[in-house]
Amino acid sequence: MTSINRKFDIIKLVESLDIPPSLYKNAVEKYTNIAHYLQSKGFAAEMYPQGSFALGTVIRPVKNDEDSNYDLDFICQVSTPKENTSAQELWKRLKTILSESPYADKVVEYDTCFTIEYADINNIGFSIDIVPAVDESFYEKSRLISISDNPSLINTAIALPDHKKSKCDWLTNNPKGYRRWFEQINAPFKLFARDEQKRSLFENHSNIYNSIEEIPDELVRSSLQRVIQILKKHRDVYYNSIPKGDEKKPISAILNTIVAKIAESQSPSISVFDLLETVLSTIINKTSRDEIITKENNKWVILNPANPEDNLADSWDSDIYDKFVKWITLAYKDLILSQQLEDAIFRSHIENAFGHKFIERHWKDKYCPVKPRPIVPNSAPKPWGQI
Amino acid sequence: MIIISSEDIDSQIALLFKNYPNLMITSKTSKKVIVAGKIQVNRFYKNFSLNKEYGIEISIHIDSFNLPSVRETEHYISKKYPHILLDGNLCLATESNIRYDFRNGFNIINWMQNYVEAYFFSYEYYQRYECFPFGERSHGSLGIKEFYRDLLKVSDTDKAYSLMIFIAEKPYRGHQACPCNSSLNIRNCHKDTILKCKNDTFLLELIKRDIDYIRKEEAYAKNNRASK
Repeated sequence: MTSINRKFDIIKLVESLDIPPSLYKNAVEKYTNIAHYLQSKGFAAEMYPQGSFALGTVIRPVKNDEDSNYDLDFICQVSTPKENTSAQELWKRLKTILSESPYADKVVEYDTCFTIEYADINNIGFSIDIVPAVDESFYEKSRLISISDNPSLINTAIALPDHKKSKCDWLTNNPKGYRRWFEQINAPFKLFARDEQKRSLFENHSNIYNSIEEIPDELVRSSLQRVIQILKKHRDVYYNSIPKGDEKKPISAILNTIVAKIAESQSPSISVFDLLETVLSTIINKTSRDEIITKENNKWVILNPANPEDNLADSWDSDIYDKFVKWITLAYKDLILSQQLEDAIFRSHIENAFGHKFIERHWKDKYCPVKPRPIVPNSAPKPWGQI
Repeated sequence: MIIISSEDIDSQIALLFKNYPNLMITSKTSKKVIVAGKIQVNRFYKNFSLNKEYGIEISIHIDSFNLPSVRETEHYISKKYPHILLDGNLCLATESNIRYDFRNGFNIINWMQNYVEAYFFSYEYYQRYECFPFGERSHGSLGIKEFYRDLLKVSDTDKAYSLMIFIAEKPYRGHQACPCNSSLNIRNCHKDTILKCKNDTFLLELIKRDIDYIRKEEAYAKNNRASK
């Protein structure tokens, strides 16, 4: 099989992880309805997506080795000025409204958000995570503008209730500003991919859309977005298998920021795999890596471009950093170097990248002249050694 | 118990070559056959797949109590990996584990698939994920006790060793206190386990050999401490 076929097949895998257009449409309807309901209850709010749903980098998560529902994150920003409410009060207001709403039996309260679970459609479902917020104060915004490398992004900064501290207090964030930063970089990449992708989406989903024009731009994926999706999946599979992987895995915001920063200097016509190779080799190379992941006062730093006080690598220690570099090196071997290997070995690398079960389901016997035999754990030996 | 007899050696080697066609005999005497070459390990467990070729050399003893041994010949396995002997032989599992598995007759293909291939799988999994997919045994006598802990289904290695000694060296008396220190009588505690082991000639021999090994190692360690 040629390398072009292999890359095409891998991109098809990533497409299957992405949110299907029917589910996307359903999710948009649902969150729009929630926003209307909140407004009808006097919770004058603007509800907007953040995270992967906003950036177009959603992939289906895996929990306990099984495909799980999509997690879609939203901010519910009220027009109440910050000085007229407290973090605790804002949280309680939303909690009360949701508990008395038609969504009451579907709402679960967590430390950082309220989650509404939606039932599976054809075995795929989603949850909507809602975080209440207010516009950040003029004073805080001015302070952030004075220290930010991207002052034009700061005007959309918000304050969210933070339950991680013992007393519920405000935490500053800026998802709209981050989205603007990301979309500025992504725009030329997306323009390059748009026409062909919309045509393909229309051909494959003509039961949902009456014309190409109806297909939302949010469903078009640039090479930048695809690279992030590929790395997120590889990350999830890898860190799921290492001890305390959940505590050590790099958050998606780190992947988004690093990939976007590297992509910024690339041609918008770059292919998915060329960009992936560039991203991975940039991080593997210590000199270029040190420009993206800096160290200040003995702490690793990856600054949020839309919030100069948000160090995305704040929880990193040397073990987490080393694991990150190791993971990226493995991603390079699995996704780039494997392209040159014979079919069966290429397939084993892709199974390690995306999970054996997932590849079995999608590729069946492709690239696999001889099926691997399973190891039965109960009878598998434990290596020993004499002293 | 003889592992492979002179009557069996040719059929076992033939079976080996049928399943691993890139192996060949490099040396043969009346006491030992050495086979070397490449094997393809193509296995998976959970989300990890391995499809890789390794160079190995297997030493097979004829009409002997010794198990076959295997070494990796291309210096691929890291010297820092804890499960490789000083002479380069791979520590596949405790000897008793392997002997117990093959108590009804040694089969070289099962040994290759269940031990040698699994060893390389564990190695690659460990290199990638920094943990062992099926666990590991501690080195030396503690690893042996861990094997018996799992076989006899007791909670710790001290209990396992106490049971081993009782099984090998003490007569069964149901009214006596159980050697696992539960404070129950044997007949109300590990009666079935003890009687089953005592009546299993093969297992009894294994236990006796291992107690010997453990005692020698402990004596050596004690002498070493005394001389410091």
